[in-house]
Amino acid sequence: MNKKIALSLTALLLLAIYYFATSKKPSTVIAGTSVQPSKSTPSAASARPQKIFPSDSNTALPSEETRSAFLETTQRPATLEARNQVEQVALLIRDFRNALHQNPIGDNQEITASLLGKNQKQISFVIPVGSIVNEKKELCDNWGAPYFFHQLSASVMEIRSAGEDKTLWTADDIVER
Amino acid sequence: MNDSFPHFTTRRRDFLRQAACAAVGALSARATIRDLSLINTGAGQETFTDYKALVCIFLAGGNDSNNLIIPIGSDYANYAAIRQNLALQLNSVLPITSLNPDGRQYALHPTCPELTTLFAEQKLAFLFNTGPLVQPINRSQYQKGSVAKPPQLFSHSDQVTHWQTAIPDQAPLTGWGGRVADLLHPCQYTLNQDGVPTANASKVALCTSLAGANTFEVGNSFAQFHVSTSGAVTLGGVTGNRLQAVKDILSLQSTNLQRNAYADVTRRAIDIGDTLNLAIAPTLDRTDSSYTTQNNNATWYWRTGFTGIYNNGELGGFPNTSLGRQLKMIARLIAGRSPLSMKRQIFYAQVGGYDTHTAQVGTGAAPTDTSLGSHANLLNELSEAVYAFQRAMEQLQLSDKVTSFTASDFGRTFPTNGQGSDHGWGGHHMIVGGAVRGGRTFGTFPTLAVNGPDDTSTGRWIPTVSVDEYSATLARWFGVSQSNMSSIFPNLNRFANPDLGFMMP
Repeated sequence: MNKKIALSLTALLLLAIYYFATSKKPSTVIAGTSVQPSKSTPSAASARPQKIFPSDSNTALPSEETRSAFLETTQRPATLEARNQVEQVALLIRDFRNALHQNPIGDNQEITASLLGKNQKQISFVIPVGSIVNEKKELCDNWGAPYFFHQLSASVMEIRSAGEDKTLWTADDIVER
Repeated sequence: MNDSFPHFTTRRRDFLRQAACAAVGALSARATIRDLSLINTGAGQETFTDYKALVCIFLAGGNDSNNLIIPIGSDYANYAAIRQNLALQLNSVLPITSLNPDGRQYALHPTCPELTTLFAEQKLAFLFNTGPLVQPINRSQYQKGSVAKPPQLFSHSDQVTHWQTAIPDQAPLTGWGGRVADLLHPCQYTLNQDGVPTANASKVALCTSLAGANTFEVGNSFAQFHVSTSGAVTLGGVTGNRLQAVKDILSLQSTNLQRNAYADVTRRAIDIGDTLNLAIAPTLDRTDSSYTTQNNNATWYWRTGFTGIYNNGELGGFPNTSLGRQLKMIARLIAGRSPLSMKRQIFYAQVGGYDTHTAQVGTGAAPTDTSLGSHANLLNELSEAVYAFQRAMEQLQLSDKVTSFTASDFGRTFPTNGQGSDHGWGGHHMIVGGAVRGGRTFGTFPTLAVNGPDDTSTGRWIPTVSVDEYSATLARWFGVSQSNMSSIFPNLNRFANPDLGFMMP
């Protein structure tokens, strides 16, 4: 009998702990705006990492100027378009990997050739609208600079656009995996 | 209140992960055909009476060895024209004179004077244009795709795996260091008349890593032992009666087999950690993190010749860098080999940062200063640490018993990308030790031309020496018999030189 009471009390205690633990979910603060995480299945876009400013509960928010500069850079139409294109190239690489069970290899020229049909199965993938293949047969971003393909493993490829300044490895690079 | 509790400053999970797998004799349940093969063939090996160690220094990220050793003389102009901002200045490089000249003159990076000294002392050799290969391949075959290539060329993790397994055309299961350990671990014991080990003499695993889990030392039968640069990971803050209480609890027998097994692993981990830390205690010097002024019996000094490392004016010590600290601990483990009853040891050290796509050389106000930048710093760290380690081995009178060698994901592209270099294939490597036929270069230096005979297309050298040949030469010196070589390196017979000749017999 005592054992049953003890079990009941334990169950009640666990329920209470669960209630308090879940009733006050921490919120994610993005650029100073409180956003409750969505309960719906995250889309590919929402699953991507986002630039998150730290919560004002612990750290001071960035200045208005910094926030404006950040928003101005990232929300510029050309940047948004470039970001979209990098995402499309990442999806293209994913499709290649799904079809051939490996990533294309080599430099931009070789990878572009692989995407365009020089691969084991001679599958020609469709280059995303807006992407450019230059005279050197390199896949380029919408500023005309060749993408840099950083081969991390057989299943992970980092795609880097040089950004508006057309110089790789600078702050305005757009990177997608 | 808190003081009455034992302080487990090391998380139990970490402790078990790092230390328990050192258990010697803990044969895993996943015995395979290869296990049986190695155990059977192992009977053909003799019991070792001498000591030898191999030290793998893995340069993670892909070392731009095109700037570690460079051609001077008539080849320099070509080198400078193609490398552009990456090209080392002719008046800054450190010329070396090879005992087996191949018609070229060479020099080392200006931040590597220590390596120049070791080369001149015939304790260091270079091996040119080495990389993973499925079988020999030339430019024409590469471009036609008529000969198999290692899968996922130019990708970091895949090429690391190929380097460390030396079987690029098979799914990675074991590293070549681990396979050597599987074969040779029993050869450290005395065998009875039936060729069966009479005692498990060695107290720790043959493979030790200073850089955490790695593929190189993965074997089928024996796990790699992970130590930190401070020694074996132990239960922090648990000493005296408390430690005895923990041991007593672990010794209790239970009807629960899982509990018994868990207790056994934990007890063994504690024992091995204690044994190892005791073995390395005599070589604690005043620059070790665990050294305290109260510990005034620590009178050991590493006679490496460096100045300014010991704060009491003594000459010597290891550089306080990532690689310096790792090699120092390896030196301490080697010094403590006798109490551990080790006859053979394989060590793994790793230093990252070699993926120099950008900032490889000086930037900002000094964009052409090749003595600056991330690569110069990395090579300087390598040069100093390797030199200190070699001097430490000489101090222990084990110079000809310990061989260090470099490995890396891949070489890098020969032309500049503007800020650095990109992923390549073949690269140059160095082997250091008293048993090395030093002061020489081995292999063939690539023709420095984009679209030349050694180039895939963009200045990525097609290796002319395979990882199999490189590794097999080291393994042969280490004690793997000729008859067992194919068990360790199943593709070796595809290549022309199972012994490249850079090790003395």
